[in-house]
Amino acid sequence: MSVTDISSRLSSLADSKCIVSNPIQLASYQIDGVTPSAALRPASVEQIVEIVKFAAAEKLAIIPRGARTKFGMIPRPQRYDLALDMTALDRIVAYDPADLTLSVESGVPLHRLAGVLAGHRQFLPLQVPFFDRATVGGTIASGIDSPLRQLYGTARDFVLGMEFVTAAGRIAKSGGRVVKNVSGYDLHKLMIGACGTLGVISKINFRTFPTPATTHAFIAFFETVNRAAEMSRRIAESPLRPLNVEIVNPAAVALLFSAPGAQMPRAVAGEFPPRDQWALIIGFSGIAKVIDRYERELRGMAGDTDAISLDEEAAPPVLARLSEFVSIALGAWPEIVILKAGMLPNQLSPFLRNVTSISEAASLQLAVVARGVGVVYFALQPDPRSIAALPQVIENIFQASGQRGGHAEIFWRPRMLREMPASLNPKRPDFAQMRNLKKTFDPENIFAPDAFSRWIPDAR
Amino acid sequence: MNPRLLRDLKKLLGADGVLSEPEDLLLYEYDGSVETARPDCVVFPRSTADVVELFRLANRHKTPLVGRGAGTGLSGGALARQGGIITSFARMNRILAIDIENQRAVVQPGVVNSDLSAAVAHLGLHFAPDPSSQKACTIGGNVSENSGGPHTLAYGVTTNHVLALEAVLGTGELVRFGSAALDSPGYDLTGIFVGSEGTFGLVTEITVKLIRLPEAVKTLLAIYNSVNDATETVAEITARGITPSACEMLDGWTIRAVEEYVHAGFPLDATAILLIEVDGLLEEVEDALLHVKEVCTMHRAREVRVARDERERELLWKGRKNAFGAVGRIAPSYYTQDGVIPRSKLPATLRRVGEVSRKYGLQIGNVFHAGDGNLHPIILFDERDERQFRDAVRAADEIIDFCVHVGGAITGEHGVGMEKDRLMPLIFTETDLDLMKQVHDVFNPAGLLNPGKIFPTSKGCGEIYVRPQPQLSSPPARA
Repeated sequence: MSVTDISSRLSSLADSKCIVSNPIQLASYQIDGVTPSAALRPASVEQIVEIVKFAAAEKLAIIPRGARTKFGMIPRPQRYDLALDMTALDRIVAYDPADLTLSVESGVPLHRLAGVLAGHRQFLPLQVPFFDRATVGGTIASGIDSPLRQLYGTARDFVLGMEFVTAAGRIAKSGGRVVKNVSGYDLHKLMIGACGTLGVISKINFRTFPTPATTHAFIAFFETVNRAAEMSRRIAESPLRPLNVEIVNPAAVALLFSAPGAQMPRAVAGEFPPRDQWALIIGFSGIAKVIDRYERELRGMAGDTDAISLDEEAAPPVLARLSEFVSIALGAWPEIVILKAGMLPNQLSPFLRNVTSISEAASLQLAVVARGVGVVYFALQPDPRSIAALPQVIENIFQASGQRGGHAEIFWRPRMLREMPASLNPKRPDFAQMRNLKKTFDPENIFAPDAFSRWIPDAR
Repeated sequence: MNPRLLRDLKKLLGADGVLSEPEDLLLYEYDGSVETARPDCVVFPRSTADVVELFRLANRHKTPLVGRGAGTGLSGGALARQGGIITSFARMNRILAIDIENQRAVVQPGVVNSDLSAAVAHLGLHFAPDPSSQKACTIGGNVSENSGGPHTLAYGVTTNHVLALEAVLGTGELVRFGSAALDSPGYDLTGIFVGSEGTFGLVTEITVKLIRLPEAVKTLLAIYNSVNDATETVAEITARGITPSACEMLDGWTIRAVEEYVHAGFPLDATAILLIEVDGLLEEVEDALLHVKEVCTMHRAREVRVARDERERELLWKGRKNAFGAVGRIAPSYYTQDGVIPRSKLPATLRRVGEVSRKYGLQIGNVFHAGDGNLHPIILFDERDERQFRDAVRAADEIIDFCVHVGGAITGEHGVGMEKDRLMPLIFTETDLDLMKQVHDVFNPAGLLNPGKIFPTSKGCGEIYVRPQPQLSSPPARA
């Protein structure tokens, strides 16, 4: 079907207001230079149903999108007929502060939602990259995590239920709006992190959390990753329950805190950060007595190394920068590749040493933020000489992670790696179930077909 | 049952690994629910390999397979509704690995919940989900039902603590979902599996998170002369953003039943009590305790007692966790419901439970996870009186109806099983259920694993279902 055909057919079935026909606007929906045949901006779940039914009948590929912040996570699309712009579905459907529950349409921007919750001294622990632009739906669909997972877990721990449109054009839901619920299968857990491959998320129910009392931070600097990891381990063995614990390598410290635009608070700007040091960044909150306790104990664990305490004025911007590591690295380094690894906490230090030497050997710049719970983001910056070595480096990192009982995937890819699968291990043990679920939810493979190849390369 | 299958099972598991005599099967007709169903045989695998082979045999003979831990479940999840083979995991009860540094444990499904916590207590760790039946129930059962408990208010339910699973699916495949390291790439198959009530697969190995024991714990007993004051206290604690690690409520009738049995020190003349626990750093606990006390007093608690030591604390919890046992001593039969509501609706819901009790002339006790809005009305009846039995079911349905009406759900932690399959249409549309059924078929295409659970067997809701009357004296014939 030609582009004109699609547009005219669409205009007969959907409210014409939701069709983006202006070519300039349409160009803004490009992914890696691929322009969709049409873009639609539905304002209701019923309109999504109409669009999906049409797409299913015509076997057109749909890519749902929120604020378009995370297209780098998916391979360059080979099939991209319809862009489904979710940003007009931006209502807060229900918010019951007294119950600490919330139901929102997926196009609601995170920062706007945060503002509403803050009015009731509540928040969602989704301190994720692109916070100022990203939508709730894109955040959940991408499964992106936040430093706050140390204390609050990830979306799977606080999404209570979901409504989504299936490939058959039906509105389905799972879960509910109460904090404890075992009625039916948790289909919404499948939708989290599925990158839009199973259905179009239209509504998400959350449990909200009371905003902690004042947030403070402590940063200790170390010559080696070993010592940073050692202190992270001691925190895990202590009764402390910090908001976040992050190990940051020297290059990432520089990226986060010395780059232009970092606008660090004056209190720390002079002494911070020291050069060529690993940093361990810990955020915590509580009443004054609790803050004192954290500072005392953390200082004790840090020993004689350089360390600074950040008060309630200084800490939040530092922690916000930390949570934006991915977006900051992307902004600073063109043609970057970001890998994500899951690692047992006691393997973090040897694994980070491995990766450091792998990237040094290939003359790649490497910036690392490793969460104490064992989730690591690596930003690799090739230069014109080292770029050819990149695929081999990635494979070596994958191998290193596997050897240490962890796993790794390409989280964000530069243009040159757009065709590369996220995981180089197609023999994953749950391959059959993943493929069958995809077929069950989306028999015609119309939902973000290329995104599925993130995990299973030959599925395209 | 098919003699060839029985012979094959005995060949696989040995004569002492299979029960098939009627008197042996009697015990397995029951779980913690009011339902009954008789299996054709009960088998006791000792290894994952046994389970793989077991599935192959069951599949060859097209015979249902139902997993069973300790049989403490409250929704009939471990009953062989359509007959077949009950797979007891009693002999797969080893803790396979404890990784102190990474705070992980790998267990077989038959490990008793509290045994895992006991095994790691000296390391300052515990397994957080703590169902009231934790001294008997198994982690395999917890995974199947996504079990909760009093402390899930702060620590989450089973699914929040399971990192990876090994299971034999209804396709016969032995699979591993998730990993000990976080954020396994791809779909969250562990997440969809936990709570699938044995309809996706038989779990053979579980990797869980262990949580550090808190530095300080304070348990407080607030005593009320009015149920309404107690429920309003809970609503206010939630609204103020105080997060206790547990917040349990018992009403007057239950208090007296418990006190007679456990002697926990609950006041016999109280109309309601709240058992509230706060934990964390010493400094945090002191502060939280002050706030909780303040809210209790503001809502007319006539007395607020803080357990002075570990012995007093344990006694209070003993009272709570043995409440169902206490009720069992005085009532011929009781039916424990499991509805969930938004927490601000607690006062209204408890008032409705009182109305329902009066309407049917049935005693209904209340002991529940108030902080989560997870109700457990205990409806007393005499199962020899058919009218009472029907009324008990009607009363339960009316309560659940109200829960759904105020924005809640039909089960908070007990599961749907064979108890609430007919209630699923109250909260799910045909589309929702069709999709869930399709997902079921991905894992269990022939429906051999735990058939007759979760999905309504007949369409349409609202009609009163009359359960076959439990026959305690003689084994009921299979339908």
